[in-house]
Amino acid sequence: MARNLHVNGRVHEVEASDDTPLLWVLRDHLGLTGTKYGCGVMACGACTVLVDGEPVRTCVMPVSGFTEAQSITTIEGLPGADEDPVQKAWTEHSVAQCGYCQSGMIMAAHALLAKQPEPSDADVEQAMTNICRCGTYQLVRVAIRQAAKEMRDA
Amino acid sequence: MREPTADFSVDRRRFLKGCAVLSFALVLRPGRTAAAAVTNAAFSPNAVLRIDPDGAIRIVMPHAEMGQGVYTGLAQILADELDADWSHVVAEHLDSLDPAFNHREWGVISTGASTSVSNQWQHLREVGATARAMLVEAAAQQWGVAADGLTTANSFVIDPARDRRLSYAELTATAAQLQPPTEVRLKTPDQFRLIGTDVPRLDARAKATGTATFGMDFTLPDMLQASIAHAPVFGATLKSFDASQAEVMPGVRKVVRIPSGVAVVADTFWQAKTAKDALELTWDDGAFADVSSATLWEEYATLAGTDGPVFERRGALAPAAAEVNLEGEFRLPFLAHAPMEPLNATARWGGAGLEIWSGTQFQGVDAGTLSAKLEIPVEQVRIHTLWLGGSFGRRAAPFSDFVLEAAQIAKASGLPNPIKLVWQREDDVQGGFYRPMALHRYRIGLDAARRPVNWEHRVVCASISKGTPFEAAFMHEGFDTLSIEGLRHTNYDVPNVEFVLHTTEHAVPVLWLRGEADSHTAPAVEGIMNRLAREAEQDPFAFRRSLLRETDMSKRIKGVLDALEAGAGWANSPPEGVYRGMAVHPSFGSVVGYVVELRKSDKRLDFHRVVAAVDCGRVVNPASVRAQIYSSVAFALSMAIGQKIEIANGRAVQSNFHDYTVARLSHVPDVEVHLVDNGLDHPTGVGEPGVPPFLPALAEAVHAATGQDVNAWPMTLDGYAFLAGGS
Ligand code: FES
Ligand code: FES
Repeated sequence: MARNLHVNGRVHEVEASDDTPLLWVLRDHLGLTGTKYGCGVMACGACTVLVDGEPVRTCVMPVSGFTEAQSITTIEGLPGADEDPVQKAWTEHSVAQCGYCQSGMIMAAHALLAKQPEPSDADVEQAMTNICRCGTYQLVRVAIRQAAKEMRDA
Repeated sequence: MREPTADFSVDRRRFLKGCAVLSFALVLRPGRTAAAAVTNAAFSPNAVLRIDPDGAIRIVMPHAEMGQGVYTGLAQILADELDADWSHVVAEHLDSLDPAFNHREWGVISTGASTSVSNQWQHLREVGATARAMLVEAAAQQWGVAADGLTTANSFVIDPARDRRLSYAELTATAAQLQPPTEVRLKTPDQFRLIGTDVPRLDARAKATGTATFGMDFTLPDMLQASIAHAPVFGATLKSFDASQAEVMPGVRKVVRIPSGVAVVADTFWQAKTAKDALELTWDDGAFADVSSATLWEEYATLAGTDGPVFERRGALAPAAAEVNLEGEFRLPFLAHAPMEPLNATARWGGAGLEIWSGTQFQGVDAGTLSAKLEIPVEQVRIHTLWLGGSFGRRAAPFSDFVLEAAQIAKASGLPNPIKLVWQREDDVQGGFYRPMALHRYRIGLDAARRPVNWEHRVVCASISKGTPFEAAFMHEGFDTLSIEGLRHTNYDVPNVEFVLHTTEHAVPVLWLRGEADSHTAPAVEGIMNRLAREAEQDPFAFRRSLLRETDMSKRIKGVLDALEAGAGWANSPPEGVYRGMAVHPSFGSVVGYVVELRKSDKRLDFHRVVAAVDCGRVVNPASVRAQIYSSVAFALSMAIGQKIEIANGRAVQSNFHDYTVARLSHVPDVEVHLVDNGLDHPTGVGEPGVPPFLPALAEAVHAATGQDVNAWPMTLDGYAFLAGGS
């Protein structure tokens, strides 16, 4: 059925069955392919977006559970590598290898830094449970520290 | 895949012949390469390179970027010789089967065995230097001066005598008219400006903004999507299926049967997947349905206890010379690659032939397979390479499975639309093509001085290359080198050696996985060396130095041992409560060693520090090498903390990331990397050689901390928890 979703600051009308996970609505209906499919069972975090600022794994969340009142932010809705401290740090440190997990990583990092401007190592470990099969974790830690600092200094 | 034997490049003809489907490699078929896309004023001295009148320096990538950083590294090599302004460099995906893009040693378009940088090193330097010489000549003509007084820097030709310069952009039209010189002079290493520097990755921005289009993200206006049901039991065949329910579900366009399963084609992925789940399939499970990991290990253990074909013999086993005999074994399970991006390919079948969009490591091989299986001339196959969301060897598929399936679905559907086949994670984790399970058993005789005199070793492992187009290339005297690399030709000098390989057969297809055979031979060989050093009550560094035979590789191993020992401060005892182990292993032309330090508190082990030393020859991008070592440690650590594929009733037990363990951020230590210069003037492998030695170094640290031997991977520790986060 048709419904309205508020994605990246715009209201989109989408026509999808109720059980379609938000992930596939974003990818196949709205063409927002920055959000990735990695497992489909909420185990990897590749599909992470922000819903009202909270990190949500969208691969198992039926679109029927979302309303126009919720603000959904995908990687495409972030300010970009020149403006966004997280994306900037990711770019400067060449964090990505294959890059497939990184949209989800970046969204999770955003959610963390919004809550904890000065996260401890343990905070980072707890918040960043996304799988990176390329093992970029060491540089993810470096980039989060840099982004956190830049956000605090701003 | 690894470069199989020393005579491989000479014997390429045999490789191509063995690979009957590859005859197209001899057909010159330029597609829309840099060269073919030349506009009037662009300068494209080679299919790989095009300099546009706007100054953009476009380099078409002969190898696939799956995370290992090759796009950046390859561009650095060419751009350095070209004296290009790095900010003008653009890496482009390959979408041609022009043999100009062949692997320089394998003679077919392909990526693997950590060879991308090493095989292109000389060639891309020559391409860059040739283009540079032609641009200089073009400037000389424009100015009416001799070329030898001119220099280049940052995409300019400079005339120092008259203090003037012309940009490469201004010279493309003239340069395009020139004949390339027959000989060019390459830079000496002191002249390198980009090679050896931490140039940021060319793909960093696209991958931080979600704009990199992976195969999974590819779309066309009229594209449909497909989901496929595969046999759950290895080797099962489809008896019958009922699609009546699936066919009437929303969005469904077609249900097609292809040799490997039944696929549903629909408007969207979710529709295709939902309808696929509604298919009723009846399988003939076949004989493998009775097989489990337990029965396989039983079979492997029985084989390990029997004599078998000897692939390496030195001296003659001298039982009388041994005072003591040490026996032991190592078991390593099947492993799925589980690249982060599930396998997928888009295929369009129609008028002009077959068009494929996919992240594949094997464009050349795939094209041949598609041509043979779909019975069309290879000239009618077009493959567009996209970003690969990881691979670890899985996207170098000898039978081109996922690409072929997409093509077969497109053809069988009778639809003109492009169709994107998307595998679910379960298709990948349960679909085989695993790193083979392996059992190593050894018996080592020590003399009175606790020196090894006899080394009997039996490997039990299935063959990767048997039955593939690569069989002839990888089989050496009847042995699949992909089962024993890393053990054969060991640099450790034990006078009497007898190495046996039992090659098993089972319905589970097996494949090279990052680290290849070394991923099981190094844990065995280095595990043995650590045990022998203990038995001899010697320091593991000193013990290894005393046992290395005189080879060129041993010299490099010793260089790595020296750097590792110094870098880790091995001479000092570790702090209270910290236990350590080390290992070193040559593979993929490189040498990597690790010191792993573990902290023990109560009954818990955590990382204290990890130090790596790496000799990968001439380093093109140090940051990229460090990143690959971090990556290798995480990849190997996954194998330690729970990663395995088990078999029950003929099927894979694990199915997705909830039960197929992959190390997460909380598990993975920071790694301190020391790059070792042993004087090699060319690059060697980087993506894989960091994987094999990590496990034995970790095992030895665990032994030091707990007294327990690690004989099987993933590790199971009695009474200890490893890593705070658990697995
Ligand atoms: S795709 Fe959603 S958590 Fe993996
Ligand atoms: S960068 Fe490849 S999975 Fe994370």
